[in-house]
Amino acid sequence: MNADVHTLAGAYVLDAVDDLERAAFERHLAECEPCRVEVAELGETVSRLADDTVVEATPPGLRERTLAQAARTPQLRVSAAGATDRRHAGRWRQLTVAAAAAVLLAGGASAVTWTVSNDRISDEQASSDQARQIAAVLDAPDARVFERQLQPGGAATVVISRDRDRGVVLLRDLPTPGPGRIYELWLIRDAEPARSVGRLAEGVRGSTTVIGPVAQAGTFGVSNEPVGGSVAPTRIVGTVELS
Amino acid sequence: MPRMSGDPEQARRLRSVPPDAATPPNADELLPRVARGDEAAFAALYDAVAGRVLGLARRVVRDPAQAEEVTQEVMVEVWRTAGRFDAGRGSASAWVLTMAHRRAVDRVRSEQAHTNRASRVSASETHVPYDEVVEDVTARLEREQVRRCLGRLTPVQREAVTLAYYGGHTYREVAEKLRTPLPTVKTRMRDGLIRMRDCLGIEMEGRA
Repeated sequence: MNADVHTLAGAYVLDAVDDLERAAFERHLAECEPCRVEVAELGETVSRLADDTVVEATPPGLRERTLAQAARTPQLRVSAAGATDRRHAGRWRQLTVAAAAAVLLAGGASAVTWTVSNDRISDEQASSDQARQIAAVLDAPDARVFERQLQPGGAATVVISRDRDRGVVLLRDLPTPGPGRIYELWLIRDAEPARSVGRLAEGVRGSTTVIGPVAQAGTFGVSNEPVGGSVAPTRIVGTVELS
Repeated sequence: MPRMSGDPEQARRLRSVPPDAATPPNADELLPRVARGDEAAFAALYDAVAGRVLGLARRVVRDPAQAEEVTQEVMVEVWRTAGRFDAGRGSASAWVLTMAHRRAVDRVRSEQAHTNRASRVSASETHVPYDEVVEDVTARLEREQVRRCLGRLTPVQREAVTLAYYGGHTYREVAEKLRTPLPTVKTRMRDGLIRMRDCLGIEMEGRA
């Protein structure tokens, strides 16, 4: 165990780390039972610091808005948190793969658009190749689906097949990246430098992208970069843990 | 609520039950119902925790309108992801407040908040006047206990913890601010929280 990673427990529960450090530390946590206990206890401790803030009277409008928005918001379907309910994991996976496939079908047009605008290959061969690769990942028996709302807005869905060593990334509704800026996709593995696995065209806010190889990747990330991309992510807008 | 005494013994008795028991009606019981789509349970959960979420958000982001936005986002996120809550890893209120802190910090670190960061940091040391607040005896006792335990940290530990938590700073920023090496700051944060944990008597079930 890396002692230096472990000392990050305090900064981690205080939210005093950046996204990459958080991802790395969470990888470490997955393999370290005593660390999980410590983090749970220190997290509980930190939440008590909130007791030393005034309990604000919440305006009635806020309550109404919140309850109304919740009523409109579908709940994330989770079989059960963590390892307690592995029995249903297979079924849940199939359901969500089907859901992702439905999204992919709906997003088919943007997949083609992405191929055209990014690779500048406009022939149908390329897009049907991509469709085949997407289908291969979704059909893989070991396909797993990860979803995450991104912090500045939008969402990422990542389907990973370790067997096929490929993944499919759906990005949607990202905010406009800004003039002269693009979104870049990364795979991150613990302490190693992040590996760029794709770039969106300037101004593009969503895509369907096949990525790989993914066998060793621990975390997927999206960052906002200058046109042309960067050698390493500079402005991470979201990460998805692939485990 | 029994007596309104400021008796520290009473505070200790209250705290000898699990940390979440003093939170108004049972966030731990409500959250699993919320996970099953129970809107009434969500409304009750809102009433139980939204004041603390708003208070925390306001302390970190300072701006009242933004603090309300954070509160709404957090509570809707609680609704959306309630199924992910794992009681084995902590209390329901800790789960909600962790999410709230994270959102508030994200807000502070986002670009639009960077402009008046310096003034915001110094302002965060002052408390909002008490006549603006609604609080009950439980909240007051909990606050006294947290302050007492914060007081047990060394000054440098306390500084590192509060700059990060209430100020929304990363440990790198804290290190810069205090002109202290990074490893030292990390150690101060962890050691300070361990001391605080022991003072508050927080222990996960099943810890050896």
